[in-house]
Amino acid sequence: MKRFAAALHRDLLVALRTGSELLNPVMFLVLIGFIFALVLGNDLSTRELMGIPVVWTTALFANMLALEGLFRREHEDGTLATILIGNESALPVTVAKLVAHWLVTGLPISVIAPIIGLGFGLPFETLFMLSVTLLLGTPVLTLVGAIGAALVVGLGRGGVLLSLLVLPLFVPVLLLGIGACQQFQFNAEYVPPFLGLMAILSASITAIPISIAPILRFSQDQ
Amino acid sequence: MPNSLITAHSIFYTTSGRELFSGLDVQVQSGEYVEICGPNGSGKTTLLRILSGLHKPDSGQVVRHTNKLGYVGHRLGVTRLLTIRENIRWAASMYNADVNNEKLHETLDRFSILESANTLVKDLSAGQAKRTALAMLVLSNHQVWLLDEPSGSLDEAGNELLDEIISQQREAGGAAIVATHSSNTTQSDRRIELGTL
Repeated sequence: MKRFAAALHRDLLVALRTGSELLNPVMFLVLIGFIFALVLGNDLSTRELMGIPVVWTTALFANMLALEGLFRREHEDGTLATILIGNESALPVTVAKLVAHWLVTGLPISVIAPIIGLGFGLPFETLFMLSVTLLLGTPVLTLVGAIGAALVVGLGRGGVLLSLLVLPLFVPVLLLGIGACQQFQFNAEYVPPFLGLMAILSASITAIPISIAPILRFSQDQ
Repeated sequence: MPNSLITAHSIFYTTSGRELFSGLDVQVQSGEYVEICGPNGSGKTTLLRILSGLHKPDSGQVVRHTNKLGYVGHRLGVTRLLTIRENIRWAASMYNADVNNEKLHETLDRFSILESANTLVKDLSAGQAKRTALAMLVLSNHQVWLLDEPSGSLDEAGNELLDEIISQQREAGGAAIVATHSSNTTQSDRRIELGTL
């Protein structure tokens, strides 16, 4: 726990000092969200229909923006190698990195997204549901994305490869998140997709963190 | 009675069609200072990374009898966006080392980085960053040090300090494995000579 706390503190401190890590995904979300809100015109029914898919998809891409850098800085400054050599440090440090990544990208996105949703004329209850589904979905994006980020960390410019690796894996989360929100918006049965999203989150939290350190070790060996 | 800390047996490793090691045996015991020497491209860094577990050999066996391995490579393992003090505190937490303020102050002073303790590493010179990495190593209580060209970017005083901390590491029952192209024959117990192929 001491190692986890120290690593989380360190990652949050570095993210705050970088600044762009915190701002870029949120700025991306705000800009793309408002551009869509502008170009969709004045037809309220179209805007209401498109609002949730647009915000969720933009949130997904905003999250992806920060993914490539998840382990890159530590790889470049050599910290990753020192962490991986000490077997005891690898798990708490990688878990802390995932938590820190979600706190600086997923959480702000989940909080800001309803404000973007306002631009699409979405009702208050739907905005709340949008935020809740993003709070459940963005940790999955971080966890699944971390697998890809760990695999490409040793490559010079792994951004495109990372997208190719993880975007197909993001599709179920995207569909369930949008599904749960839209079903809720149109008073249909929203519980099954909502439970599906929770199930994916539970499975990801259980299985992924312990697999990241071995993947990082594999990447170091390449 | 010295304990074996790392044993590598019959290591084979090929990279880009070049055979770097064919049947290499390495044994490092407590209290030893082992140098890995050879010209550029001879595989010094690769051997260090194999011994540390970062690389897997094509065949052969590496047994590490301790988990307490400290590695300072060309990439120093120092976070550029943290201060020297924060880096050292973080390393101490990672390796459960008990570093109180007095000990920290004393170490920073010894490595001549006390005045820059609250400076971000990105604003330090290469030599100061190397001193920070070595200070982190000293305070982290590792049993085996794996150092890749540690004297690079260090001035004369820095090199003397490096010799001093390696001596202390040996006296404390630890070991140091140092990859270098400028051998320190007066101090080291053993040299592993690697040649180009």
